[in-house]
Amino acid sequence: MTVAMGRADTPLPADVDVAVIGGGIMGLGLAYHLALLSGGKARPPLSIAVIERSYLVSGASGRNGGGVRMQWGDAGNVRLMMESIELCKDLAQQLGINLWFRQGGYLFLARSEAGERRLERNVQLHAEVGAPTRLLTAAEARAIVPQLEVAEVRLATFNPDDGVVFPWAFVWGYAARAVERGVTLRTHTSVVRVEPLARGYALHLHTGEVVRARRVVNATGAWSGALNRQLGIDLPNRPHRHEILSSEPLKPFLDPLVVDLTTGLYFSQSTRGELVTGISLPDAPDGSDESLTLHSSLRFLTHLSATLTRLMPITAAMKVLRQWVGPYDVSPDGDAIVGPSPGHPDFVQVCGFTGHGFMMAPAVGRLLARWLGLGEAHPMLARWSPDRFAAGGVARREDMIIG
Amino acid sequence: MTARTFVCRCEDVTLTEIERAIAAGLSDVEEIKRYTGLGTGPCQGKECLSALGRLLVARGLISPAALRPFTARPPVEPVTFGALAAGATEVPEDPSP
Amino acid sequence: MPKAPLLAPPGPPTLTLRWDGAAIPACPGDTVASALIAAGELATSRSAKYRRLRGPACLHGGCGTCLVRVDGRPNQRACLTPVREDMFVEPQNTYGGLDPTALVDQVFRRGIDHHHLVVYPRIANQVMQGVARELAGFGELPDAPPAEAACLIDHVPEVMVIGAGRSGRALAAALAAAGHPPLVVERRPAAALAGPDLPTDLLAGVGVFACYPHERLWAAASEQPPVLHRLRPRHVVLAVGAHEPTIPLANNDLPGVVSARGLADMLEQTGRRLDARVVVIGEGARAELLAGTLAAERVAPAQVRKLLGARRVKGVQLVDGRTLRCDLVALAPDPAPAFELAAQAGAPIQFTGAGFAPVCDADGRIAAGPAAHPLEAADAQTAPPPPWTLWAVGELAGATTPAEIRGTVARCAAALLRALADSPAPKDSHARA
Repeated sequence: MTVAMGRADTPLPADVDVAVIGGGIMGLGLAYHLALLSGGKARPPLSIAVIERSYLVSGASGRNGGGVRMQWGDAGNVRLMMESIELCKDLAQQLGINLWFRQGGYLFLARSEAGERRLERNVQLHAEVGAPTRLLTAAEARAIVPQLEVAEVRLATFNPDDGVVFPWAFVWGYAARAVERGVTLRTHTSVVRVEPLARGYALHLHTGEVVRARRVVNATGAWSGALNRQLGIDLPNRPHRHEILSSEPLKPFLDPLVVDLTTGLYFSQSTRGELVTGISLPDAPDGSDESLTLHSSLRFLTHLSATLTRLMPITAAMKVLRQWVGPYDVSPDGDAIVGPSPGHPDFVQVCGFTGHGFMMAPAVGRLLARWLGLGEAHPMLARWSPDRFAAGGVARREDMIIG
Repeated sequence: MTARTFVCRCEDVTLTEIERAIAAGLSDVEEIKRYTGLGTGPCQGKECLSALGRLLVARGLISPAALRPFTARPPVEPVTFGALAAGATEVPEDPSP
Repeated sequence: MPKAPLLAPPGPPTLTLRWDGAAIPACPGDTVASALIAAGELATSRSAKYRRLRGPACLHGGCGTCLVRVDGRPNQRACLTPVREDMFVEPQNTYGGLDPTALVDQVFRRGIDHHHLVVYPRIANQVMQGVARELAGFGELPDAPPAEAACLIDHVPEVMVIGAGRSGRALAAALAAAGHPPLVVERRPAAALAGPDLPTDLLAGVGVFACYPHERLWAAASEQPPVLHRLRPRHVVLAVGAHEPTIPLANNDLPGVVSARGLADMLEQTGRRLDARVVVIGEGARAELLAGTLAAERVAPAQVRKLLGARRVKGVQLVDGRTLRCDLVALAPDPAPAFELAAQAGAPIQFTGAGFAPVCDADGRIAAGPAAHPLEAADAQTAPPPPWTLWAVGELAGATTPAEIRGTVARCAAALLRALADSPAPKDSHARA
């Protein structure tokens, strides 16, 4: 068993083939899969460094609710998540660490006619793709979660393969396995300047060190804009605050993760027994841009509590244990922004996952490594291309983004 | 009964577990909290945080001047969803499309 | 099996609480914890991982191990819950009389590493996760939602004092005497606050749970009845005292291992007398003083090899081979200031050697500073300048002895009154919205 969580004093090579900026699940998942390939078909072996400015799981990878679902509104996303969930089944054994992946299902509730139509469309789509989602009446939803107040529920869907995980362990697991395979992991180190070279880039670190990289991956999510602007790369993804909380730990009473489409409320019960819950919070009344700030608010607590206690009245007697904030990295069409940057083919974006990067990461890390290491195409890569925004107009928008 | 020394009783984090985390290279309070679970239970660190700080300083792993607590997240006292609901100003009354 | 009483009552018990089916006598002024300890009932739950028996420890609302189910509500702090006639109190997470500790000890002699526990093979991993889920969590779901409707109260006090302990009361008295009675908010219920010096404007049983600088308010709540308070004061005095951190000693989690300070305060508050052998573990003048108050033998932590007992503490084994038999062990660590609200309010936080504390001047005034968290530091710049002045008194301001505590109160009161004179309150202040 290896525990490798990076150190501030790990020696960094002066030259690497791939430098990944950002030690979140995307950066480390990619580094792990690249290192796996590196011993095999992609010869000669790649030298890979991951540079994280804080500690592992300090950013969005350590602040999300750990939901993993295949109930999406688009066939590409459903297929990708079916693959991700399949990978999750034995990922703990691959990474050598407990991931607490529990398939309790996702229960979506529609309380409006529009929501009802979305769920009906989803079930049809999922059946075509092969995902086992089924339509439920309000009474059937209540059979799964007896504490629900379902008077307003018009329709529900349930997919038993969806589930929840303990997010931090994924990051630690990828890190440990990547380091075992020769990846350099440096934490507590900021990249202050990215300098283009004739071939590749020089990364200037806050310590005064310089790392030259043939290719650079920007896996800094909500913080990616600042790095991109240094190179004149203009992409439309923007950070968005998302608040979340956990309750006092109670004995298991809730199996699925429940989502109310009307309010964007979601809640699940973690392995430790805490209710983990968040909600779509309307913009701050004063219109202030608080997109990259991480302070918690009473407004969130009260708004969530009013919605939660209405949908599940017993929660009124439950207590909040801890609230915190994590950033979504929101792209205009809800699709990720992945691939060579406009004008900078060796500066690769792995960003814009709009709050669902964590659940997609097991599949994404693998497909990205195969693309970067072997040049292998994947149908999602065309969709995720950073060039799509230059053409103007957004073709479609995923409408099953929660929170 | 096996003798065990606890630093965080809420989450059953023993001195041995802290030492294992330190041996794995962790010396930051935030890192140790996340890896061991220390301070994430019902008391949210009131009992264990300073004990951990004293331990890290005593072992020379960090200087007192550099030592920072983990974030003191709300709530510091228990509060029910029921009481909080009273403060909502934008309750969705009816399902909107 | 009835247990030997450990605390003598101040008079004939007139109340009865139901504990796990048994009748426990109690007196007015008792908390659930004091009544249980008095009756020799020291264990209230089993722990999350090692399944060890746990019970009331800090006796001050600051630890997580005296949580019991009271009248169908889970996770109530026994040490802050006043006894009511016929209240129904249950242990949590105990599984009847089963004792799984021995099994856990046998299988996990070297400890449980939950990250690497039974990862392989996959099928065993799935079984382990199922078992772990059943064992995790403390209370069961509540029996019912609260009967009363929740309400919201807004306050705009000139001065808010958080905490009605010794320093909070003294400060409130000094301000009131000068014509500026503050609003005092205290998490302990009124029943636990006997004394002639209670502030006139007191919210008891209300816990201030957060400061939200971006929303320019402080938030507090009570559970029964469910009330949310929003407070927008011009001056905030933190009289929140200190936590009693654990002392890392072998078996420091046994039922009957309590905080010396918590025990002394409990005796003072309930009028109960010790009818038990107590050993105090701690160093320095404060520990010596507490040992005197509790009429207990005192040993230093370095003298202790381990605490003895299985279902409850029975003694202290010393490194010199001696064993001190006892019914309760009272830990007297250096207190760690309750810095959490100050940190949320944006105070710069430093490590004092004992714990963390806000940086304040001689009068207790706290200046704003950068947040501690590396990624959250940016927030300090986005927060508007706070509309209040923040002060600390008592242990939070670094005082340890009664004389030092009085000193911080006197200096803070004088400085605060000067500040109030320099900048009189607008007309609508101190009105409740």
